[in-house]
Amino acid sequence: MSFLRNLFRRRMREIDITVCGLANAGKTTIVKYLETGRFVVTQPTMGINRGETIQFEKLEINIFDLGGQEDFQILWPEVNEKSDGVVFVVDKNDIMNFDTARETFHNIIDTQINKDVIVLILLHKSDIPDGMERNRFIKEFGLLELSYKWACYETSAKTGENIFESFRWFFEQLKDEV
Amino acid sequence: MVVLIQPGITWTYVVFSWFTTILTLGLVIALFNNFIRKKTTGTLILFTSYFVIGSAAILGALVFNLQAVTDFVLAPRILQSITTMSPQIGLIMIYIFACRHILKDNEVVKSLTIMITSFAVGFVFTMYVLGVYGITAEVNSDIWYAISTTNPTADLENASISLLAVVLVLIQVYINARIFIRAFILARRTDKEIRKRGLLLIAWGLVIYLIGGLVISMEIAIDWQSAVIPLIFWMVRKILFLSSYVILYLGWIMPDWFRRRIRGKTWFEMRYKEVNRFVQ
Repeated sequence: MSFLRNLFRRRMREIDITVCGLANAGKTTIVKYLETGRFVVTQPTMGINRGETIQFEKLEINIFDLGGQEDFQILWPEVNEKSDGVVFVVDKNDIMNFDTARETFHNIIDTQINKDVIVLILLHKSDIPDGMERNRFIKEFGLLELSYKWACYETSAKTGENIFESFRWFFEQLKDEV
Repeated sequence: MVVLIQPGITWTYVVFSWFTTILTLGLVIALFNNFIRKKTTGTLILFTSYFVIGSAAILGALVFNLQAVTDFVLAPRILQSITTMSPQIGLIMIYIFACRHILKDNEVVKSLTIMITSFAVGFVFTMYVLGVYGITAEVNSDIWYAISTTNPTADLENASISLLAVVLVLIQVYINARIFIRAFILARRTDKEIRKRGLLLIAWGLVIYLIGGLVISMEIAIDWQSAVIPLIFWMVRKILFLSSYVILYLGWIMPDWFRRRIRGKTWFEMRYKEVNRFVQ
């Protein structure tokens, strides 16, 4: 019996994560960087893209890259509800849309995800010198009041800064959680 | 009393058909799994088409079991007709699936193709099982044999079976050739390695499927005067069809393990391995 159990038991645990954020924040570029390790010019995501699966220890992590345009945001709740982890990408230089990004983020946190979901916030495009500082961002984006397990990294898909570090932290938390 | 006919050959048919059936069912289960995971219309259509093909394989294996004993005459004939026709229904579903990803048929062409092919399949099926011959003629009479696919006794049989078979061949060639030509063209145009491999698998899978059809034609068109040669042809085409189902499955679904084999490890996985090695 144990032989049969072993035969049919999945050796890898499959989990889903979603990558959200406003349009043009750099979500697909980050997903592509995880796959290829280099900066790839991408087209705007239409709807939802299921990216490559990443194996991390005993986890098979399916990445869902969600289109950031307003028309596609109605698709987010359904995917986020089933997700084990959420990555929220913010363009650190897009000060004009900062409030919209914060509103969108808190809408996801308050209405779309479960309490045990891990949240990773990426302050993206850090290769451009201007833009909001990480400490100020954390405060003004309302991250300190979050009851979730979260982390915030400054990242760049052009230089590769912190992409590995942020996702290693994220995947390790997911591994401990599931 | 149960009596075996040509025990060696008959049981080779029985054992081999169950062997290929079990492998086909493995694919059906994999596709069901895929449908449960993704819950999309496309995966449902693909699963249904393989389910129909898998059911036909089970019925085909049952036919040989029934033929291994002489007590049954009518049942194998009807089952054999269903077995012959079911993959055609599966093929129409594969066409519907291909229209979503490969073929660029507009709604009119798509509807017409589905309507005409379904009508043709229905017509041939009716002729095979429920038509004038089956209903009005006594089983085992010459006129029954005229439409039966086994035990050739009359010249009329070859003519009528050939005519009906031509309809099926035309459907097969029309749908399969269009999909594989389009898949070859798209594979040539794309520069994405995984997509290219997937399209090539679909194209070659369909080419192998059509070669399987050619083997059937050779098997039934020539009077081989031997029981062994048709058996070899039958085994060859079973292997060809099974290979094409497996190749098509890989091409259509591109399971994660298969993508990973083509693509290799992601940058993150390699980096993680490197860092871990350094830490240790």
